Amino acid sequence: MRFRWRLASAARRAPARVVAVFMLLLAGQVALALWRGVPEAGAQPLGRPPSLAASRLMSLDDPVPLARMLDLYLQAHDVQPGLSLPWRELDYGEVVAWLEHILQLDPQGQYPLLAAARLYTQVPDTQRQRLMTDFVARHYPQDPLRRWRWMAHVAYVAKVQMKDPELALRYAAELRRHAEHLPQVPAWARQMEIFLRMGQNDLDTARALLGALLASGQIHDDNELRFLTQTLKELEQK
Amino acid sequence: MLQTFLPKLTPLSALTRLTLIEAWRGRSARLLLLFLAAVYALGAFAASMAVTEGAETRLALAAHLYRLGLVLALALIVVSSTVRDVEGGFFQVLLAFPLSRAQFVVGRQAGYMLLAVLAAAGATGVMLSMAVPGGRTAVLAWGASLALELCIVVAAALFFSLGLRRVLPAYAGCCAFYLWARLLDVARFMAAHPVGQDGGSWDVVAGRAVFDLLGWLLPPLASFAPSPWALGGPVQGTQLALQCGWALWYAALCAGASLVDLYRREV
Repeated sequence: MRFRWRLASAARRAPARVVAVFMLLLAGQVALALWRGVPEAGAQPLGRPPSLAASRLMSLDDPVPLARMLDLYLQAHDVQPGLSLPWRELDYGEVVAWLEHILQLDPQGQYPLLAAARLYTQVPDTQRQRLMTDFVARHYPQDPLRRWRWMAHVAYVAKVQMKDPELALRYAAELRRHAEHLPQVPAWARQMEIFLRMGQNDLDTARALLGALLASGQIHDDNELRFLTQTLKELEQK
Repeated sequence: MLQTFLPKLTPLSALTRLTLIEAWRGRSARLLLLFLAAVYALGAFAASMAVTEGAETRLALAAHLYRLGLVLALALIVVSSTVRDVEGGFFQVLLAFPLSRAQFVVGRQAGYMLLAVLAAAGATGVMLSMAVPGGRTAVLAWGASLALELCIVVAAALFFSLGLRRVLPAYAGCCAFYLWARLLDVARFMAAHPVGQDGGSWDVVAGRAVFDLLGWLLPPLASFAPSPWALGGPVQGTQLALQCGWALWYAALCAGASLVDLYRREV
């Protein structure tokens, strides 16, 4: 059987008028699309998250995929964290509410805590940073085995970015208190309180923390590794 | 006809084979492959956007879309082919041969359940390729649970299509069945804990009774193919065994309900 590009037996064709009208309508559709243009991703208001019951209903009682989709939805509201216009239009109270909601839907997920600790704390606004670090500190005791690295990061944020060594020490003490009996948590994290007290400068603190995190082998995601390495390079260039 | 062309097969196995051949000729396999590939690509796109847990994001999204897509597609396949059999007269032709109504229902249901298992196997194969390290066994368990969920859906779709005999009402009935079966736990929880209402008022009590009744009649599909299993989480063997028993029992229940309805009607 030979393959043919065109059916030789096609005896009927559409009338020319029908083809002409169709082409005209198609041209009209393309013209409308061009006139509409490409929609811009403006800073839309985030709004409050729905209730937990409503989310479970929307997701057909499968909250984990919904939590993942909400992670990406929230992330799309602030693509350049803390450096461009969109973050000013974000209500951080609403952002925290959404992060709480996502964590309720998927308690095993680390995305909300990463976003709070590493993304949303990059804005140069101490009040907003404090909302995020307090969010992480509030949820750390519920699962210290998985969440210790976010707690370590907010201790670093408190010292280096917020310039609040006392707050950093409180976070490091909290980290130690819930991780003392967990050998899976690296010793440097459990002893973070000590080296914060040693009065290192900010760059050395950042190098020690981020370098230890990278060397710990606990980070497996390529995007996260790239993000941490880039952060370290930017700090060294300052 | 069945014995002439397939003398070595029993009527049941011949009908099961016929069901699979019809699905193959209806281009379902090619559409399934296209669907599997499209969800795979969408998952890869979502993973590239995620700052962390990209693999988990991809798996969770793919698990949800595969489940929803396969449920809707299989229900449509069952409803459309059954209604076509009934309206086109093929059902009457089959019953003219030494084939009882029970054999027809059981044979068709077996064929559709086998189709459901094959579809779930395809989705599981793709999920295995995306599985997190150490999570393959959990993904296999998820796939088995998905196959059981799809078996329940096709059994219910056959019941609705034999009973209602029109595509739109049967498909709508099947979708409503699936929605209620998945939302049952949430609905019962909300009915048991009303917010801002008097718990003893008649409407709250009536609502709770209705959801309790639904709980007796519908399978708890929310516990089937849970997403944490797709992400490599711990699998409870007893839960999977319970799901297997429940799925087979419910499929038999749907077949029984179909037969009660079918035997009442004149063909």
